[in-house]
Amino acid sequence: MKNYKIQIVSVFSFMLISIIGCIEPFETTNLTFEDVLVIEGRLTNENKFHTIKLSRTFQIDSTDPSPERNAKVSVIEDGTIVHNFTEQEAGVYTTDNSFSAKANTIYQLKIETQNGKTYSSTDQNLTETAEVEAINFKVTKKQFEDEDEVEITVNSFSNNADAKYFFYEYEETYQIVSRFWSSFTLDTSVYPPLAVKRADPEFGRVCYGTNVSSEILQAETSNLSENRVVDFKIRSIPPTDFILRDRYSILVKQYVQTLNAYSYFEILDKFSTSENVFAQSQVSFIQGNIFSDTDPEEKVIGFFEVNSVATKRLFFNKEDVLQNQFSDFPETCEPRVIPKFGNFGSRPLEEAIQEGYIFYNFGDSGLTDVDDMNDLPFVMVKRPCGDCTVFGSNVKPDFWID
Amino acid sequence: MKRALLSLIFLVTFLKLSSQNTKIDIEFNNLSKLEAIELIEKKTNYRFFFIKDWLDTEKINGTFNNKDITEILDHIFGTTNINFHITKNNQVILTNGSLIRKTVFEEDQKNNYHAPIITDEDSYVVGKEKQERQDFYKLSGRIKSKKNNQPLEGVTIFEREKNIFTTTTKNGFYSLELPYGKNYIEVSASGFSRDSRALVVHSDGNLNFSLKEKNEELDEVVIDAKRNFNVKQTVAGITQIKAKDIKTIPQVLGERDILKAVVTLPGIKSAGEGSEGVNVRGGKVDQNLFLLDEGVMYNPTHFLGLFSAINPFTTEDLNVYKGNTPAEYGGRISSVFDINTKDASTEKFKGEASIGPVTGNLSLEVPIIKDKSGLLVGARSTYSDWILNILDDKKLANSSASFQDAILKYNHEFDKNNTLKITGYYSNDEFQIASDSLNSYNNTIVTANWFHKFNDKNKGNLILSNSNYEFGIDFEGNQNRNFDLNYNINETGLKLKLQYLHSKKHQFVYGLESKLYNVSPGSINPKGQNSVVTPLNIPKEKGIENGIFISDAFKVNDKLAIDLGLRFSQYVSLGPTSQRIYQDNLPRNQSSLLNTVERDNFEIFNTYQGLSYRLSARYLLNDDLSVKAGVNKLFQYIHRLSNNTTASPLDTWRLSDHNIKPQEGTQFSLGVFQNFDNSNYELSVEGYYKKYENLLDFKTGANLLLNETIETEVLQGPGKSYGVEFLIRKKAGRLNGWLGYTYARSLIQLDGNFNEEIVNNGKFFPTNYDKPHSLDIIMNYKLTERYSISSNFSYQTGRPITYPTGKFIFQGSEFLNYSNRNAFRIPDYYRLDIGINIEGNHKIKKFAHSFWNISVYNVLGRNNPYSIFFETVNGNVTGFKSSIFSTPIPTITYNFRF
Repeated sequence: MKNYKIQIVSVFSFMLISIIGCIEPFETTNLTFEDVLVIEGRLTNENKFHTIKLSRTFQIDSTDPSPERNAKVSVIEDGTIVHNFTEQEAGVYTTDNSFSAKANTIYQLKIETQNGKTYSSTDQNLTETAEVEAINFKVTKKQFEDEDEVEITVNSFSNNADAKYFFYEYEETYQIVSRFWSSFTLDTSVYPPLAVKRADPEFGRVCYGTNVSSEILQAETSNLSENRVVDFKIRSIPPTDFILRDRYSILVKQYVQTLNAYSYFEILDKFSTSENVFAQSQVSFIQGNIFSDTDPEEKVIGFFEVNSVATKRLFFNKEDVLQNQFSDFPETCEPRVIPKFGNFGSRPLEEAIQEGYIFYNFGDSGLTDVDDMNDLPFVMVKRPCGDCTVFGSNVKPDFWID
Repeated sequence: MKRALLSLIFLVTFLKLSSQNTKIDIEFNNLSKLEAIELIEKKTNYRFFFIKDWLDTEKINGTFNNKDITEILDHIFGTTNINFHITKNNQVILTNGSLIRKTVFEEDQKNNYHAPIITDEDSYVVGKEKQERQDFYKLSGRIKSKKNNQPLEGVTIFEREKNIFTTTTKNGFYSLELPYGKNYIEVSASGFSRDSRALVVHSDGNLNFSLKEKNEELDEVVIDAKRNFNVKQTVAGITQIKAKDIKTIPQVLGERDILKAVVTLPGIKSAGEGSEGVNVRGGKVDQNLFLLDEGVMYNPTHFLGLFSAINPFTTEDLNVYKGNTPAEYGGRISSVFDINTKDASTEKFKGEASIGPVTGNLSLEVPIIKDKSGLLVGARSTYSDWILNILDDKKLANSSASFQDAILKYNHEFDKNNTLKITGYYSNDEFQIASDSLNSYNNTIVTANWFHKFNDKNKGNLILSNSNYEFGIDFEGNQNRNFDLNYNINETGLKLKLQYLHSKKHQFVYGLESKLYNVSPGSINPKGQNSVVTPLNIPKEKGIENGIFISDAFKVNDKLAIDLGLRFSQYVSLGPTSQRIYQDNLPRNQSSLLNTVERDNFEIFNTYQGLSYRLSARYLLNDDLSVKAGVNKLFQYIHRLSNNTTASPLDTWRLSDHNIKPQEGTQFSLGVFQNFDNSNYELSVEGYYKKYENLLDFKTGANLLLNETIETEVLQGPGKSYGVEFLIRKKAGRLNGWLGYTYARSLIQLDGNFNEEIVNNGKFFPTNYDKPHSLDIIMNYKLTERYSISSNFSYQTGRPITYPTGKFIFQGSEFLNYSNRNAFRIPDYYRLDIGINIEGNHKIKKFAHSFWNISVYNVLGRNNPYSIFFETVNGNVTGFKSSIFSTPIPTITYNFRF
């Protein structure tokens, strides 16, 4: 329970008074469920296979999204050219051809669901362009708290008068180097197991993890004298986060939105975060730009956009930002010497392997021959300490610059 | 005695009124009246029925030979109040003043018709009843201080209902012309406790008062309504609360709060702790006219509604008109809260102070010119932000909140016919709650009220007022967008109110009122050199509201009284402005904008007008039982824009124009009022039905602040509210208090031709403040003269809320899809508060009189949900409930007066 606790000492009575303005989780019961089609997707001016996601709303207490399958999805260009989409995985529809959205062209989304209902969006045009000028990082104090945070900000600029509303996505990739990596791995087909050279000599040493943004990140310049976004905070990372341990990269995508689309996402975001304890926004269903062709009262969730997009990538190493601070490794790593046989015929090493320990080294034995060393007790570590594939892919991304 | 009297009346109904012819010889030699009666009984067969207390000790002398019994009795009782009646069985019935009639409703053709007066033991009888009557008799007497027996000058003696009043001369004498029959006299002087007396005036008479000084007084009556006033008053739905009487109600954080006391009465509700404003009979928060000495108070609360901005020490009383609003008021469609500040003493320097955990409060009454003028000063302030600073939550510990208010009132009596009162008021709030922005708001009110009495029948008030409300947001983040945001509304009003006491049957109030509004709906300016915020000024709005009114309190007969009020109301929108004209039959937005017309300064570009009527009637079924009915219609041209579920200080007020229509409200009400046990208990049941037109609401997620085209976000629709209010109140005794229960509904309909204008499929749905059931019980028990215990229990149905009906994944996060608006309710609200009041000792010579209040708010520790909301945290939707006071809160306050 999260309490905003206030304590007052009454000056003249030595009495302790506590006012508790309290916020606590609330169990929702007896909520009626409404089954509504949810449409997520946009065209951009990138030449690529564009994707539209279809799903249906699901129960509050459920965790399973329900994809909308077997729908016919298409985008009509200028009322004549039809771009068809094909369902690639459950509820994810991708264009059959790659193309980029063009300026001064009208696009309309058309959907026919498997129950035969049809939906159309209003006509959309490609938005004006704006460029991402810079992505910066710095360490600052977290707002209202004593802790530091690494803040990543975006600056952008546009000469186009209509590029005033921005939607951001990011994709961060972090390099993670195993702390207790070994070029040996265990052959467990025999007991005691034998340490053998890895087939892939670099496997599990350096990996790359990726996260994509899941918040609604928006900025606008409508009341500014120029269309310049300055130091818009797109990501904040606690310095102790392991993703900063080695090398970090972030790709920022900036979509230029229309006012209507911006408002739609702004309200969506507003209705899912509380502003203050005393005033509650009046919430209700938010109407997007997609409607049922047959029943005007049917609720449809989503906003079909055609955005211009700009991207920029940033790299930095841990030393660039944090000199005196250690990022936590996500696992406590203490190499342990584990004998192969214990008392009464027990097999401590076998138990450790079953618990997830992997081979680290042979200890400081002075021996040079592997066969000799295989007779020694092994030094073992927990798997995340010696095999970074737990956190990411062993494959270096194409864009990665060391 | 009451029983005796009633049986007498009963007896008389079958007795004949014929005189006896027996002649008597008798001699009285310095006998008392009792002895004289005994002598007659001894010598004749007449038997007397009377109560000994009626007889005075004056000695009787005289010799009668062969005289009629009536002649002898005339001699004995001629100079007294005693009337007598002789039955044919030779019984002599004495009455104290009253004439005996055949029936209660006997009419006497020879005289003006007067209803028989049914007295009870509290009534004081002046003179004795005579067969021939005048309309008016003179009541005179002398008023002294009980403490030192000194005559008191300037004491007001008045008969409120009949509007007859006078003041005492230098030597404490007064005389007053009162109509025959029952009167209710109130005597008041500042610094002295009010005295009142029910009178039966049969002839000229004498009545002296000695008044207690206020400091000696102990309040046992919590809310003081005049005896039988609730039954006899023509208009229903009026509540009066006296500031001094609420001190025994348990308080939150030790703040004596007149508005918190008001919401315990039926029909007046607040959205919850920490929400601004009140909802009266299902009306919106912006539909209440708060008047402080006739100046409009735009925000009567401090600290987001937790405390009222009305200083309890300087307030005399508060009248709430929730049923029928008098014709002299206009501009809001739900209610009028008329707050009157005390007049400062013109004789003696006085003060009052209190220390509580949150605020300190000091008020002083300073005589300027003795017996002519005085100055009242009151100031209240929070000590500091220390409460928030010691929070263990980092977010709130970096927050701050403070408030102050001050009031100054000067009253000057030039002569008996001319009085001037000037009031100045300022309140200020600043808060910064877990954000970069410092919010502040303040009210400023100045009023001047000149009272002039033309003659006994005509008097009037000329009132000039100015009221200003503004708020600001001062934002300082780390980026390039620091700003100052400001909002301001100012109104200047002139009101002429005249009263003409035409006759006993007709009393007229008439006059006119005019108000000029100036609204700066918002401006934003960059702050600091790095800020690239473009300055923006939403163009000012200007308008004039005019009203001309007349009302007649018409007493048709003793049973039926009617109050007829009419107010012609007009609102004109004035330039300079850019008038935006939209295409009809299209949703208002950029694309349906036809053209923009520039209007010059003071150019009239739009006018609304209408006739507002206020009719109410009362029919007395008997002296303790009445039925009242009312119908009224009102207009409102100013609107508080809010798209939060509860009101906040940063809501903006905007004026009607050609795009935003005025709100209209019509109310029908019917009530039954009954007093029993000698008016110690009051019982009332009132029902009402209200219809609204053009209630304001907004499109989903509308941004209201700094919106240049607010009309594109506005929805207007009809509403209705109805309810039944039940109140029982015990006014005096060791145990006193009241119980109020209300069943009420409040609904709104938002239907339009376009999707974005339709809410809940265009059907009526509950408003955010619709709370069907509410129950309040206030009790005060006096243990001894110094100790009393009070309690306050409150229950309300939870207010409506919009719940999510499902969730969906968007952009990798979960979001909510919401139900129809207000389809659900938060859990019910209930709370019990208990307080102990300890008066200081009552030594008269003491320097100061002290008063302690120890109270525990929310004794049951009920975690009343203030709101339920849903947040996306780490990609998952979680429901939260927030509450303001979730544990019992004990407080001690210390008050003293000198």
